[in-house]
Amino acid sequence: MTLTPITDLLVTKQDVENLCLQLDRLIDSLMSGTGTFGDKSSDTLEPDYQAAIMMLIKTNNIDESRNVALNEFLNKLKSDLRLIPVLNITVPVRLKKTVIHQIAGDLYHILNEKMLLNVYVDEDIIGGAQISFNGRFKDYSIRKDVEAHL
Amino acid sequence: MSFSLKDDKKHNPQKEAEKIVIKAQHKSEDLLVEATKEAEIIIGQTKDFRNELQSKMRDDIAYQTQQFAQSYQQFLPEIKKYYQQGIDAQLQAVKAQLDEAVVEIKNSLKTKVEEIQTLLKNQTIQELTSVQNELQAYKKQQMSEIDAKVRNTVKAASLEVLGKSLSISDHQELIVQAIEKAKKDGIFVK
Repeated sequence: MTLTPITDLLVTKQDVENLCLQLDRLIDSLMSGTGTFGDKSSDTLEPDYQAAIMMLIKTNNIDESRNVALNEFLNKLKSDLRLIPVLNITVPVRLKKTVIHQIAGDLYHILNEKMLLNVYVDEDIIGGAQISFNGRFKDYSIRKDVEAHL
Repeated sequence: MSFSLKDDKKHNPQKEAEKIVIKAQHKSEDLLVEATKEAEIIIGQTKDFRNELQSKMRDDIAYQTQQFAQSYQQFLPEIKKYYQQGIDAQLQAVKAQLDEAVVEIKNSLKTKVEEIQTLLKNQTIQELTSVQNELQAYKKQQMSEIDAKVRNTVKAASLEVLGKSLSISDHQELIVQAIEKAKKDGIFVK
């Protein structure tokens, strides 16, 4: 399944968790009450996510009237989203969402691969970042440089 | 004297016996007187002899006493000299023993003093070494603490200065540089 429309909106691991919670609520709503899928998705998803999901449903030729097919698609989407690699990164200051998006864009250009950021804040590292991925850890902080020179 | 039976008829035997007894008494008295006289003579002679003997004995005793006194007077210095020599010899021997004992005690004391000096010297060296080691350890610890304080102070100052001097765009740039370094270091290799 191609995830491009939705992954463009997902930058951090928290974004994915947040979307998965919304998808759970959408899946629950499919099994109860009346109304179209469009109504239900509007009620449960953020607008950007809702637009991207509707696009994915069309792209993947999912019948919006068939709850079973929708349910299967949404669960598959959740599983696929959780397979996106996550880069754990510790930074010295709390970054605005726009800055995190810019960094995520740089990360994509550097790695040429979609990767989610899991951002932690530790003021003690002063500058730079500590990076942890797939069980590997590297400290590229200014604190480490200072300590190395003392 | 002899008596016969014929005479007994003529003479009264009792009277004769009495006569004989009387006669014997007279005789014995005579003998007793004579014996007494002789005894008195003998006693007188004996007294004289005794007196003479006593006198002689007194003279002898006096003489002997004088002789003894003279002899004693002559012998006394020799005895005195003899005992004096003995006492001197004993004193000499005691003095020699005392001298020997004094030398022995002196040597013993000297040895003890040397032992104590050696002991004190060793203890002093040990204590000095111990104090030196403690001082060295203390110095090392103090230097280490000072070093740590200096490092912490420099670190804190450096970090504060650096932290304040970085803008958000600087942080962003450093974060991206960190990601690039991580890629070069092979962090993202699958």
